[in-house]
Amino acid sequence: MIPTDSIVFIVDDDEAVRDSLALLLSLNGFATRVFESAEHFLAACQPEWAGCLVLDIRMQGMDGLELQRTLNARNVRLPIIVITAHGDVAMAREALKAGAVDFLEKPIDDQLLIANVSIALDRNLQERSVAARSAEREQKMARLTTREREVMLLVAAGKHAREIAAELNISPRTVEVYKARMMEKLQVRNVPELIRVVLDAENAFAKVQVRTAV
Amino acid sequence: MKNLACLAGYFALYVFLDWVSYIHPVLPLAITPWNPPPGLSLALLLLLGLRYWPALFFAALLAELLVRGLPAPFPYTVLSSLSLTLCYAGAVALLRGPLHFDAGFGTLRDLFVFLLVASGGAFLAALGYVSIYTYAGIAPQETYLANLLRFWVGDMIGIMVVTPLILAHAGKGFSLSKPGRETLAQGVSILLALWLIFGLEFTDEFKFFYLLFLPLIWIAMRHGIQGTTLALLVSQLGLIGAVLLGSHHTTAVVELQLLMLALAITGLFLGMAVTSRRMIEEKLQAQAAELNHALRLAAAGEMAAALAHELNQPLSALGSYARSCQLMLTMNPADLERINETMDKMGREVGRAGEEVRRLRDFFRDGTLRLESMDVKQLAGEGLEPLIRKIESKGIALHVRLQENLPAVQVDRVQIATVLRNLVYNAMEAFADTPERPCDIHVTATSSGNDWVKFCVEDNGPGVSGEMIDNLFSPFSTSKAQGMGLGLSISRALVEAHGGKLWAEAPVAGGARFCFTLPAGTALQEQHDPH
Repeated sequence: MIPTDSIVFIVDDDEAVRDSLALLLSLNGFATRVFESAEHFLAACQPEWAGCLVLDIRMQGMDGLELQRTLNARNVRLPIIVITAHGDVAMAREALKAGAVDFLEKPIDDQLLIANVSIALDRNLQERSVAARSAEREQKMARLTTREREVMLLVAAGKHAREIAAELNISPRTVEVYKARMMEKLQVRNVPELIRVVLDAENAFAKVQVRTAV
Repeated sequence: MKNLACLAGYFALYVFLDWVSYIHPVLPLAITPWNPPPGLSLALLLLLGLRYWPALFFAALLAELLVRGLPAPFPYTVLSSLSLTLCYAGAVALLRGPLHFDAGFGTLRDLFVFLLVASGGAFLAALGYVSIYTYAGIAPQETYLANLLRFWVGDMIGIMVVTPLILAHAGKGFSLSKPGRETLAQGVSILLALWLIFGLEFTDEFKFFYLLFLPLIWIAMRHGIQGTTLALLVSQLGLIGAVLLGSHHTTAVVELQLLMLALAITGLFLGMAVTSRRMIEEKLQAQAAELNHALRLAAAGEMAAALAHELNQPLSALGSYARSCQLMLTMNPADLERINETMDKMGREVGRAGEEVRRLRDFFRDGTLRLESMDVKQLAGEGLEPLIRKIESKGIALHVRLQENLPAVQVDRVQIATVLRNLVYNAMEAFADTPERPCDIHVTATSSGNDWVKFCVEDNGPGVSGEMIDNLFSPFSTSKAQGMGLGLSISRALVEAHGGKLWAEAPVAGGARFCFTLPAGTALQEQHDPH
């Protein structure tokens, strides 16, 4: 299933190559857009773009690896399929290390290309849905007061109202009130659901930390 | 079988030569002024091998019996024959063994060694022969030294005329098989010289002997050792003929033979010098042809690798277009117009692929370039990229510094990328023997003014030694254990074809620096003929 809003962006400085790839992919049901250089793509690129990138690694001006780095730095998360007319192993390795889906040599095997484009679009879709969910969660979490947040963490940690009350130095009844309000704001119906939301948030937080560390 | 025939021929020829040369013998020893059989014996053993040495003994015995009619009692004849055999077989053993004489007989060293050993062998043979008969009381003691000299001169002239003749012609065919006018004239000139020396009443044989040098020198210069040996044979036979016809005293004949020996040795050295020089020239020519071939092959290899990339682009497009056409054909209804349009594009791509192939072919046919305006950064990228991994894996740091706002260069990208790659590769190789220090390669591109862009590749390796710097750019000069040393000569040729220059510099800090220039400019030229 090809997501309807996904586009395959083709960046290659060889006109015939990008034209033929666009034709082939569009005949296979993919929406495509072509760019004659990395600079053109960067100039047009929008954060909300969805889909994947078919990128020639060696081009006049900015090359594929540089574009990949720039996009990573800008946090544009389009999966990249790298193509090349050289069998340059070193560049392939670098591209793959920087997160490329795969590395295809010209002349390109169309089956392999289509399979890779499908994988890339899938990956993009998943990442987007994860991103959408976490954005929603972030929004909900942002509505919590400091106290409600503290209660949330303690409830998720498996503590009872009485223990929480003792820890926060408030009455158990007040804890129940915070808890009810917090769960309503987060739109969870029971404690297991709450735990999952908190764990997701922690995971996302950890990922962000890893990313900034890198 | 062949050797057996040789052996039979040897016996027959030995006896025949002994009979033919049996003139002016000094009785009772029967020492003749020229004695060709030992020359034959030496040639036999040198060509067929030392194991045939008994043949020498029996041939000598046979000749004593048939030609000379046993001048001495039989035991003495056996003894003297044995002594001759030992001397000449010993000489051959010395030549073939420790002296490494080459029976191919093509160098001055061969000739020199042969001359030395043959004269030594002939001397010992003379000593043995004359001593035995003097001891036996057959030869008078008073003429011992004179006999010794006569024997030695006779054997030496025989050896010098016969052995080189056989060695120079054995297995090489008969190079004078088509006697032209010049050969004829040379033959006539020998006869003329002989006539001037011996035929004219008023010319003194000894005073005019040098005239024989003239035709010999002529022949040696023209035909090398093969012609010289033939000329010597003709001269000697003519000399002997003249002596037979005239009325010369035996002593005079021996003295003439001494002169002839000097002539033979001079002629042989001259002929051999000519032959060995010719052989060297031929070898050099063959090497030059080989080099040319290798140079082209190496350049072709580099170019082919680079052009494979250029070919991949149209091929890739072709593949995608073809697949697209197939897909469009399966649609219902098929979009025929679009299929037609796509197939048009395929035709164009085929043309483009053909163009790339033609470019390679053109380059090797007449060296034409396909110049295009190219960004220096991209050019550097294309040249260096294939080596980056290799450089990193060797722990060498590659620093690329390209000046800002460089003008584009007018190049055949494939060729110049090859040059750059070559230079960096050389720099990389320079570190092969120096693992214990920081290795840096600097690649820079600068431009002063807007006409030229200068590229430099510098390394901090051991640098170029003084002796290498002189023939750095000549093919096959290399400091590398492997490799043919073609890289720099090809690179220079490619850069010069672009109108640029490539040179080497020795930086003050050590290491080596190679620079080349390329013309800047963006005006697109389709073709450029470097000539």
